[in-house]
Amino acid sequence: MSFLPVLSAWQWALLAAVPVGVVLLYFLKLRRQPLRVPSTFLWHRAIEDSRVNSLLQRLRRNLMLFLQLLFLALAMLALLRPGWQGESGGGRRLILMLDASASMAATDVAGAATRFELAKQRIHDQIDAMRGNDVATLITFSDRPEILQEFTADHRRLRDALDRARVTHRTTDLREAIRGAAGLAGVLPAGTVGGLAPGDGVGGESSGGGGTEGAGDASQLPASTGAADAGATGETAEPEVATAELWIYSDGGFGPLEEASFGKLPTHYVPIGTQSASNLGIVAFSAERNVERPEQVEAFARIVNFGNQPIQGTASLTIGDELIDAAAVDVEAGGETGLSFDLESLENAELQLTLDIEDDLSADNTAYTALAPLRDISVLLITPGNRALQIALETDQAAELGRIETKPPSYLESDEYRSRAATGREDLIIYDRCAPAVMPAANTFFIGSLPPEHWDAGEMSGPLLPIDIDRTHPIMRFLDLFSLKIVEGRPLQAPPRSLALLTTTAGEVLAIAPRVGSEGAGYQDLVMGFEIISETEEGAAFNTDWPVQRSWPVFVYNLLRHLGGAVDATSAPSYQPGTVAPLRIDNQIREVRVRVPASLDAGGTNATGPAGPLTRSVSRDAGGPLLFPETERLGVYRVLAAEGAQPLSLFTINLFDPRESDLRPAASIRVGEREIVQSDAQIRGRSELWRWLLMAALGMLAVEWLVFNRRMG
Amino acid sequence: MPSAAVTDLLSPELLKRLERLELVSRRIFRGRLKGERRGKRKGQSVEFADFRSYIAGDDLRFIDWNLYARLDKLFLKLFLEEEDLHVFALIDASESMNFGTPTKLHVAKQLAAALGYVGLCRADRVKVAALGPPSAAAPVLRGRASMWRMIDYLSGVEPGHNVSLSSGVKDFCLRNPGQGVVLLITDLMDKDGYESALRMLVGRRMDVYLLHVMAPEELDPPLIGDLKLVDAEDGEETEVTASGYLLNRYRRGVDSFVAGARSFCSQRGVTYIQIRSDEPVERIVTSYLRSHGVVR
Repeated sequence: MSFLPVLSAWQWALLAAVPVGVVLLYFLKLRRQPLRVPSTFLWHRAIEDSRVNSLLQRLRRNLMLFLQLLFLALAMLALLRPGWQGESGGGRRLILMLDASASMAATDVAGAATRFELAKQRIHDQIDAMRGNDVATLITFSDRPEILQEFTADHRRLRDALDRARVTHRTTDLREAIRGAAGLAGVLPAGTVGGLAPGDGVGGESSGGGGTEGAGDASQLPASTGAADAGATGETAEPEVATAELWIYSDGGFGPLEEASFGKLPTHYVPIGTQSASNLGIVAFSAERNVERPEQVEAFARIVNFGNQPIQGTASLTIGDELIDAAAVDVEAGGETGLSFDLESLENAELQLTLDIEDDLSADNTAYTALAPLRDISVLLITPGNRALQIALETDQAAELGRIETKPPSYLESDEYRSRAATGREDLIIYDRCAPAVMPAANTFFIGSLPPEHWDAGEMSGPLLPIDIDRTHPIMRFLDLFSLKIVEGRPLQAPPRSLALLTTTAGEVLAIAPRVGSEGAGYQDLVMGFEIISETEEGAAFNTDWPVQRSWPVFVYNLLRHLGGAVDATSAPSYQPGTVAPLRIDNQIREVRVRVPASLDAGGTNATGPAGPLTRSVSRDAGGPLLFPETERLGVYRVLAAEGAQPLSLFTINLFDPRESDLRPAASIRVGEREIVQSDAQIRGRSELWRWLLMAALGMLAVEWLVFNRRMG
Repeated sequence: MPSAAVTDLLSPELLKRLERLELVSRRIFRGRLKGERRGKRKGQSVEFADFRSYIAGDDLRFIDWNLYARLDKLFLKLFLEEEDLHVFALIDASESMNFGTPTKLHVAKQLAAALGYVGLCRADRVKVAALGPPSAAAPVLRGRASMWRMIDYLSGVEPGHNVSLSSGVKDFCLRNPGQGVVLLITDLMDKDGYESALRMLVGRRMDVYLLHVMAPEELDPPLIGDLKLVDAEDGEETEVTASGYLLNRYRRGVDSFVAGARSFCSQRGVTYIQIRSDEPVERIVTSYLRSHGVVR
């Protein structure tokens, strides 16, 4: 039994005067109003029990006084907050980490609506169990950590911060959170806490539903915050590293953290959730246009049963509110199934696949994909003359993709070129045996030449025979190049993060790399180390037999689709919640609006913020791609040039994370070399008596009132 | 004479009505003077009672000469003698009687005056006395003309003579050895009890009427709250919290007290009559006491 006195010393002194006052009031009551009566003779017969006037007997017989004193005693005892605590000891520094990832919205727990709410209750109990000089900090984590409350001994602030915590649709990545927690505990040097700051990790819209109270620099926390904050509440808490404890409230829906470490920090893992949770989830859903017949669309979905029981149901495919197709789903426990839908004549559609079942996690029962309209691309070909390339660009399929303009190398010197290159109006610029002085704001394809910087090439050699072809890359898809013959070429020395698409006996002769440097971020450069047509003394001659192979027009078509940007027009990309989505739209557009879908809030309830669709405005930084960070909600996001206009492009946000969909809580979590088994938080839970005492006190008051009425009535 | 006092105690209308009434005695007592009622003692009267043999020394005037002529024996003719009645009205003048509106003492004086006047009108021997010291000065009255003296005496009776009922009655008995009708007008509020006083009167073979006067405030006290009750006679203090519960107990106590007194009286041939002090004395005398057989 321990006590947590609520009042300060002088308040207790004031309270102690109350029972004394009550007794005094009873003595005052003895000063009765005198009244002459003919005789007290008859009264004596009525009040035989009042004849004994001695003080002690009077007090002993006064039931109401005793009831009142009992009421006061119970109330004072309640103010002492008696209770039991499993473990004593003060001055602890608790780091409370709350999993806010998508799986915490599961409804498989008893006693709370969701796992997240149950975890909040547990943390609430933990806060209540804190002794006077304990301090605690509250951190939520999903794919990024967020400090909701720094170290403080103030229970109210901790509870307020806990109330602000909201579950998200995001995935789980504990590494940053562990690094931050270790830094806060003082296990790691202060500098390593970088990246974890209050309110950090949230894009424009805070999932916490509000800012962080008392935001400060987290890098200063390990040494100073605990003491400073505790001092503000009148307590003195020495931040002793040895007393810091890490409490992780999670379902363990993340993989082993091999590289992470929080040293010898005492860590408790409180698993939230049940092993019997049932969940059927969509882990993949996409739609592809038929390459040959773009009006035909095939939609694929992969559905996994993460529960212990087989689940039957239906999957409905809808466009808007219109049901397009449905399929029966029957998945064994732990099994998975695939669904495919063939759709006709879809120009511009937003597809939604819904599992019509009741399970414990609703976020993965709906998946979205979108088919954006085919759009024209703009290609600028600068060549001294390349008939083979021009023919390939003029095929019917290539011509459907967009507009192709051909200019001689002298065009590079013109102001018009410089303007077009700088403004980024072109989606793809092909430099055939020529190179610009400055890289343009567009994707580029260099044939037999090199970009002005970051790229280099070896000596010319030949003949070259293909050794390795990366046929997984979209540009190289469907190509059979092993019969390719190249008269001569130069091996490429590509910048970092390049990808070799074609390797020959001399080395890489075809490579693609993202543009190096901040100005060119988001653009890709494809460089071919050999020429298609070479200028010889006899005139133009083929340097390779590729143009006469069947793979040549396919390669050019792939080039236009993927490097020109046409590929984006055929299938909208899907991102996971919380990631920053790049918007692939016409480079000439400086500012767009993004229509955010209505909120299917985590846990299926629209608890926070405006639930309806939102419109956000995004503008392009100088030369950079458009980025959209507010991807908390699941659904189809439309990128619009103006309100009400046809969408320029679409992208979708889906959960698509088997770890989040797998609701079985991990019995232990592995961080670095340490295996952290589950901890029973109930042991530490403090059983409070004050509510019962207060109810008993109220009962006493009611009895006293009854007694009074019975006497006076 | 103080006609105001007469009006105060007895209204002229009541006096007229009282003149037609007569005190009833369940026993026939021997008075000192001839009155208007038939005495038990045989004597000179017109109503024949019996004969008895002559004894030397008897009054020769009562010898039945006709019988002597027939039987040659001397017989004495006995006549029932009409005698007067001794009526005593005893008033409890203790401080406890000084309560109520009108006060219980005032009602007691009115009753004493009324019943005394009835006795005076019937030539009874009437003595109206307050218990305690004033009883020494109480005059013995006879005849209607004595009414003024009676009123005068009653007007002079003031409350505050806090003698106990038993000592007051004992004092009265010592001073008045004769028998007769005793009207004891009291509230019975005596912590030493009323029983010894009544026993003493009954033991003197008095025809006792107990007129128990109670104020409405005593029967149903309008009290509430925490009070310190002070006894008007001995100053004793009693603290009470006048609640509904306590008042119920008090009322039950009063009822049992009255029932006890009634029972005590009926067992000893004492007529117990409870009187509320807020009732008009005219109604008490002309209907209430009449129905109880005190007057007719």
